[in-house]
Amino acid sequence: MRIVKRTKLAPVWSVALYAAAAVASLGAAAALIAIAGAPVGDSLSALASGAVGSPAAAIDSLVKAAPFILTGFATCIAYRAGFWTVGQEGQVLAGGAAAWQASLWTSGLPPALSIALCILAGMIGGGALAGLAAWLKIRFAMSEIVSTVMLNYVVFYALSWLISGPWMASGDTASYQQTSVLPQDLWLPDIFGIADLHMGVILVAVALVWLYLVLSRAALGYEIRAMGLNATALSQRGVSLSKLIFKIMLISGAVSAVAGFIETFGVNHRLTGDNLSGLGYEGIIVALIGRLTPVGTLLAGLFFGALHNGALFMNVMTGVPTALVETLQGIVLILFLVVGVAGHFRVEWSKQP
Amino acid sequence: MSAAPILRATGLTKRFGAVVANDSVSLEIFPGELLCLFGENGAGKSTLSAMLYGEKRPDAGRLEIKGKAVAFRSPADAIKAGIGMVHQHFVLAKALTVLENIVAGTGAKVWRLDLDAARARLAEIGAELGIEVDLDRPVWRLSVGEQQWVEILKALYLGVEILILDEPTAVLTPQESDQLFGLIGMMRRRGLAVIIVTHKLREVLQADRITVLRRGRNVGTLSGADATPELLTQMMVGQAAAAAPSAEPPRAPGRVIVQAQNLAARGFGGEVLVDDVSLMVREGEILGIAGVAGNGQKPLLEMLAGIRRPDHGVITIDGQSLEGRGPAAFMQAGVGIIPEDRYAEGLVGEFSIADNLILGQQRAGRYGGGLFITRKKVAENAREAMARYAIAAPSIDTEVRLLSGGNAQKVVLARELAQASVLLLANQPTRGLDIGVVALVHAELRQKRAAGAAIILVCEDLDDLFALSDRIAVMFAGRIVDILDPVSASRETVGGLMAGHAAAASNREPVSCES
Repeated sequence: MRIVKRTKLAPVWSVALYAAAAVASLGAAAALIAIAGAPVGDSLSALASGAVGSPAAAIDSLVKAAPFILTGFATCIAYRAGFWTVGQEGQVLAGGAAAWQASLWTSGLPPALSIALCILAGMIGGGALAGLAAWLKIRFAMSEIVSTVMLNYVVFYALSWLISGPWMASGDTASYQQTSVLPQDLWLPDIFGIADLHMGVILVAVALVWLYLVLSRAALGYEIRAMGLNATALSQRGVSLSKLIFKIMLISGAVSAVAGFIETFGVNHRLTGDNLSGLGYEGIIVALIGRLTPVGTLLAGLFFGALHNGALFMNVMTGVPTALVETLQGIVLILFLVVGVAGHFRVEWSKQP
Repeated sequence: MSAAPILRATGLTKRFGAVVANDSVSLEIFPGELLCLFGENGAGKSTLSAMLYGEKRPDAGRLEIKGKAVAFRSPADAIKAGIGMVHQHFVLAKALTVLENIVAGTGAKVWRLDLDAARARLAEIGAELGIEVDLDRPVWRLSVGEQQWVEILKALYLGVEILILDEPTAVLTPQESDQLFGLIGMMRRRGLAVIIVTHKLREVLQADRITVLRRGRNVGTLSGADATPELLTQMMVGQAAAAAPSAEPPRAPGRVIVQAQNLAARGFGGEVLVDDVSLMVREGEILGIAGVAGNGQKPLLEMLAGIRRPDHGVITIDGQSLEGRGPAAFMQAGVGIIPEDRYAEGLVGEFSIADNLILGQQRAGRYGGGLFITRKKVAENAREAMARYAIAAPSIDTEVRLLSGGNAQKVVLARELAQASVLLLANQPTRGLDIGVVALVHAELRQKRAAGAAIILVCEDLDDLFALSDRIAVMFAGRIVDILDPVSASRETVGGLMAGHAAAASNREPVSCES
């Protein structure tokens, strides 16, 4: 038996492989629920109805998915260039924090202008943090994986200090790590007046179109893809990799920061650490499952947004812990990665000579 | 020396597509013997040793060990049959100790490694051969020479009887090389057969027998006693009737396109790559650079393309000093480069032909000017290039990694010929290509010269150099040791200079190359 690399995989096989992975994931979910001691059928149906069982549930799922998709897009940009940042997490926090600070500075301006400046400030905050990692890479050849992980901690603890000190809501004790509520006119308005469907979702749609166009049509996207596939050839053809890394990270950090902004201004309406935690890491998983494509990331983000939302309902109905979703996410990621690699090989059975 | 060969290869043939890397090569080796595989880069030495070590399977031919036919499917089979190999680039885990590196992958009893037994055996082997290396030292703390010892110990620990050393001295200092040959002597006394793959004359002459390869064929095997540097060089570079030098009549010298003064470059380890090279090429001229690979040609071209910053020296292109500038500025000035390794440096394998043809031009005005790429213009350009260079592919959207070497090279050629308005740098532009594409490359280079461009052509094939060059510079050990006129110079002179032979005679380099 030999394992041989194949040059092309027929699309139908590709679909079949991913379908098999999806079925296996579902099986894993059922097994996990059974291990948790809950009725499998009831739990799965609670999961589904909590996710998409009603218009309100579907909207909640969509809103839940929005920040995952944004951090997923941020991941796509960097990973397509072969820049393995894990800093989305910190950039979400930095974006949220910078936007919050801007809301204080711009109080008194017309709300629309104030919101616009808050987004901008958030993007600058996230971009600056990502730019720092890029600079460390360019100047000191520091691994972006190490620097971004470390910076995530720095930002996390800096934010903890801010919201349990200088920015703490008056009347709270340090055990509530949160700011006071934003003035209501800075809350992101609902789209068409639909409850809870905030305008941030539109930003996701804009980001989707933008990212799709950049990656497939723009000179920058060409350079991003070329850097990921053969950075040597690209740099020998006159493209400065340092500048490109800077650009990529500024953009990626800014996109992650928007996730922090919409969660803060559209969902929580105040800056808290807890509600922003995990959004960045979620984006990495979502982007990888989406094979680093804009549409794939969108779909994976929607799927996991729905799962997270449904899991809350399932928890209430049948008592399955919501941590099931994170476990499941890990399983899906592994299965999809395995399928992605396995699709490039075929097994050849031959008689021994 | 016993009468029966321990290894005999007959008619080994290996093809890569249309290229015949080894054409019916036969050789034999006896216990206790030092056999040298000698030839230029690309002559087929690496392919041959890869077949002996089971890394590549021959398309035809027969391999016998101690009279028994064998067919290796992997190096593991070769090791079982008693053949070991030390690669030019060591395969050691740097964070592990010497001992751990040696026992890794060898006869562990399911879970436990018997490190004490291994230690005792290695101490024994080391004492016998006079190798002193601390088994508990992590490999990264060893010198390059010591790392090579570890590789050798690794092979001996496996009990091999035939040891292949691929370019063993390429990374060694002269002292370390001497030590290595001392070690080889010890191993031979133990009855080991040693094969070294090299293109250095100095080492060749220490062998018992020498098998010379040229263009994939065994052009002769001679005993070390009969070999002379002159004879070997002649065999290495061939005695083909000198191809007619470029037919064009000599032109009046044009303006100077590229002027480089006192260029120097060092590697990461501080080793000298290019040592005080000055050159000048005029419009409508091809300067050929002869030399065995690794003598500074590649870093020299990289400096002339702005890809590598010189440690010293100045480059002027078309009257414009480009000191301290990067590849973008050189491209702006009209410099194109055909890199030595087209897949690693010239192409993005997963990109389409069309996209590869605009690599470096993706922000140029004619493709949209920097924001969005105008796909129509890219496609137009690709269709023109495919037609003009007869690139055989299903469509302009075919990924270049799926192309044959020749067609991939045509993509590079099409892009860089368009790019090189004043200077074309070509490093081994015909390596690994079949005759049809070679002819095309030659024709294109001549046409480019006729159009007034300056061309610097690095090539190991003397036939090509003599056929194309207006002048031939020979590089050895990072220096241009001489510049010759292809009409009057003999191939033997060039070959000798390439092998460092005449360079030693002229006292440029303290290479002991006794003849």
